[in-house]
Amino acid sequence: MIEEFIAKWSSQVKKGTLSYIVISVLEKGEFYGYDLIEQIKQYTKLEVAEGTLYPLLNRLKKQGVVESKWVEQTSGIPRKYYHLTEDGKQVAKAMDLYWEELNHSLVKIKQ
Amino acid sequence: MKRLTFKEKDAQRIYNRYMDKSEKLCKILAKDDREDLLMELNSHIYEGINRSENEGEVANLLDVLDGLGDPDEYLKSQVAEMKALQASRTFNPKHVIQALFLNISNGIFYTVIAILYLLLGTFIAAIIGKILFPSKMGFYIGEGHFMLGTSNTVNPNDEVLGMWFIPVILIVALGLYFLITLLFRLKKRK
Repeated sequence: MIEEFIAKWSSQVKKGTLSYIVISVLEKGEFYGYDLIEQIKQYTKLEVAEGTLYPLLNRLKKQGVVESKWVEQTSGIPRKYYHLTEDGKQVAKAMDLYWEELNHSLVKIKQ
Repeated sequence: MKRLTFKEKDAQRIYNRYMDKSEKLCKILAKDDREDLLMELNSHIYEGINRSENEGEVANLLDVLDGLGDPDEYLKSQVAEMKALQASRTFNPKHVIQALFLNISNGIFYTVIAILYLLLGTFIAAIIGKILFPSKMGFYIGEGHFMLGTSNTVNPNDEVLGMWFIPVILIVALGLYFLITLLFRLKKRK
């Protein structure tokens, strides 16, 4: 029962914070989809499904948070790089602030 | 788009089958959107197989494709969203109807839009009906009821629009059409 509860809760947290995680990684620079998944894995140990990441990137693009550009490669297979827009950088700061406040509140409750 | 080439025949076959299916699913999209989606998929497969630690192209490719999942699942929501975007960019009823069909399972918004579109179709049918059967088609207001259309049970004297039927219904239909497009655009901004 405990394991099941934690698994469900973790999945909800993961879903809820994925956009924050993606935006936070993109604050570090521009990445293409595959690289972004690797970066997320490296920082968070989260296994992000490709079927979740690409639709999310499209939504963020639609909302004006990220932009993308195709960059030709010597292999002949171009990469699509994503980066934060100016609005996206403001969104990232606002999310940081909210996350900090949330964390602060949790620490207070736990004391 | 440059397709990938594999040394192993089986790998090439698996890849071709996956890409053919993906292309078929994306056919409904505008050319630019379709190419963008397929190029990104192709790029992802290329990066994945080049970083895979397996031996053999088939195993590498299957690892990447397993991660992506079946094109039906992987592309479904992306194609639906892109089609909705295309519908919101244009005034083309074909794209709107295709977007509705793809997104109908995505919630109440598209169900409402589908009902509005059905209503729009009714108005257009009423205009055609008025042209074909001018004396029968009309907007009737009687005691405690009103009706748009044609019926043998209504009193012809209850018809209120007369020669204004076509212009009035046309204006209402156009208003409804702009409302549908506006709702799509508002949804896009969300």
